[in-house]
Amino acid sequence: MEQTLPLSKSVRVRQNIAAGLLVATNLFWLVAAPLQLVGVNLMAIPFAELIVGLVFAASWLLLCTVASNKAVRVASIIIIACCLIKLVMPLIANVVCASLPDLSEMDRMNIIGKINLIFYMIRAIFMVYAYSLILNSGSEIDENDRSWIVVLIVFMAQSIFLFRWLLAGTMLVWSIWIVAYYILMLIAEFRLAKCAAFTGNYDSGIVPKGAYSPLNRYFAGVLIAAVLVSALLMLIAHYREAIENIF
Amino acid sequence: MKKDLFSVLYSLDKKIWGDQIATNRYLATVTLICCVLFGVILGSGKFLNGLFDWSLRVSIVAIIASTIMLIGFNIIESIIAAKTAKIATLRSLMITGILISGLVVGFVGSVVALAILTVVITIYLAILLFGALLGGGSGGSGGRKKWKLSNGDEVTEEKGLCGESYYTGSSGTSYDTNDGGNTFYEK
Repeated sequence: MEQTLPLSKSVRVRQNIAAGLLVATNLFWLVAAPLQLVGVNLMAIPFAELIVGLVFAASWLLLCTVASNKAVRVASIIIIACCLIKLVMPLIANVVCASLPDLSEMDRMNIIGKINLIFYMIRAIFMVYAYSLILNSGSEIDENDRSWIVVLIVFMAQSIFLFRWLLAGTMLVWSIWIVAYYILMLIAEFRLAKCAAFTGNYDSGIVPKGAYSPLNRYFAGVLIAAVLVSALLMLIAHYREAIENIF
Repeated sequence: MKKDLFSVLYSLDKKIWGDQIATNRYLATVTLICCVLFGVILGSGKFLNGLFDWSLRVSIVAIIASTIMLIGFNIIESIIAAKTAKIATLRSLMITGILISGLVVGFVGSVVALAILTVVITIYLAILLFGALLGGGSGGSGGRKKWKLSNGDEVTEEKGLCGESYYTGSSGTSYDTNDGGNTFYEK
């Protein structure tokens, strides 16, 4: 990782703490996923999800203070907002359900599931925008670090694919992917925290023209893949029984 | 350029398109490895279910859907990383083919490997069973030692279950030896 300017000690410390916190949150999920296979549910620990979410938000708060320009700072704020809204989502879902009278437990679960699904889609779109903003911010991020930020964009697209429930058929298959996913996420978020976009020396004037526009190749890639994958998954959902009978 | 198992497809990208594409070093290869493992799970699940009626609860739909999702990830990366639309399209098609091939190779490989393993185990068990039936002990009749005694009796060595030796003459007399078969005495 080449950085053109030597970092001050304060920036380096904040960058390292943020990177460490991001690695810690991913390590938690990385350990939690395979443990579920053997019946150990780390999410059952009281406030586990809340604590992990707050650690993630704290790491981005630190990164926000060392943003190299306005676009990166805006991106950091979007990511923090997405994270905080995610933390209060169970509360919002429960309030919505409470406002609807005479709901059976099944209906309540369905509504909560749909609210979560829509929220995760919107959140993914905002996160893709935030990451694309960092890439377009004019910071001198090297090619290798850029490719890792692209990995984060790619993984965010997962929440935009429709018919994702088809994926949850075999626990072993899902666990293999989840382990690979969190290992790549861990590296990607570490590289993002250490990239040239978070080197301090805040300069509000260097954002290139059009950096804030969502009409970029990152959104194009996500949109095209989301349409293709959703269409294919819809086909599979339609012919599900026939496929199962053939094999 | 540093090469390792997890960056095989990255090396391939660089070899074909050079600086015209800036993909991640590991993403494509890791997704390929996942596809191969999905194929292995599907193949072994179907094989064990077909042969022994063991259910590994493998869902073909989940495996196809997961593979499609991984293909989708690589399409996104291709569109973002390629400098021209042509390269993005070609790379998407290439990765789609590679991931599907990985799934098929994993499936066929696991079925072939399990079939070979089953045949080897079956042959080994058959040899053991055949030997036990012929010889009444392990090892069969081929390795059994025989001695001709001065009284005309022909002594045959038989092995017990724990490897102990029994010596029986053709007349039915039981013998024993203390010196590995140089001299025999009646029990």
